[in-house]
Amino acid sequence: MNIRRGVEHDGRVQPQRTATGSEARPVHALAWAVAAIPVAATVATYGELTIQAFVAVLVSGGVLTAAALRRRAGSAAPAVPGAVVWLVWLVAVGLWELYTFLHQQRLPTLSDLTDPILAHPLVRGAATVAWFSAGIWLLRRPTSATTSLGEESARSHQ
Amino acid sequence: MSATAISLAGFLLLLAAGVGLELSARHRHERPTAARSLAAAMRTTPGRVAVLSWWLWLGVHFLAR
Repeated sequence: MNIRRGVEHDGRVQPQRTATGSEARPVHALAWAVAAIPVAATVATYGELTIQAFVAVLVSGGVLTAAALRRRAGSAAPAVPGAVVWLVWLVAVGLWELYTFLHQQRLPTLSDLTDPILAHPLVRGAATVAWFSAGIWLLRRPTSATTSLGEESARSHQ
Repeated sequence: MSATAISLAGFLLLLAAGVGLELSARHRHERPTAARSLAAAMRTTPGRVAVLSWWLWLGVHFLAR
């Protein structure tokens, strides 16, 4: 774990995490941002229910997920009391979606409602960029891992 | 009231609740924002796997299914 010892003004020694993640790696953030362009273009061009869009989303999402897991993204994120309220909200959304799914003959699900909006290529492309950006944001959560993608890259260039 | 309107009303109500929670978190600081909560959920490996799987499912379900 990349932890340095720092001395506070009152003489206490406090651990300090080094920036192994996001802020120190603007180049990697740019590379990930550029990677969103072909994914968004593919999804926008081919549209829903096509193998091309499915592969583009699955492959790009899979690579980003694997990178985030390898980097242990978020392992150094601060704990926050009271976050359970968001879990309750998420469960409520999930239950309503489940209810509409089980009564699909009468009630349209969330994806049924969003499909006509996402049918437009530009909206679909923008939604893909937003989704991919959220993935990059998840990847860039603070990590306490010894190595990061940037450090590995720096080593490989030595 | 049509079935579509009922379903839409449910989702809009939940969206409004989410926006309300976020605004409350930003202005009154009594609870964490959605972003901070999401990041905190990724502190552990199971939490990280759950969050990333959810994100991946969202992409496949809404953009590519």
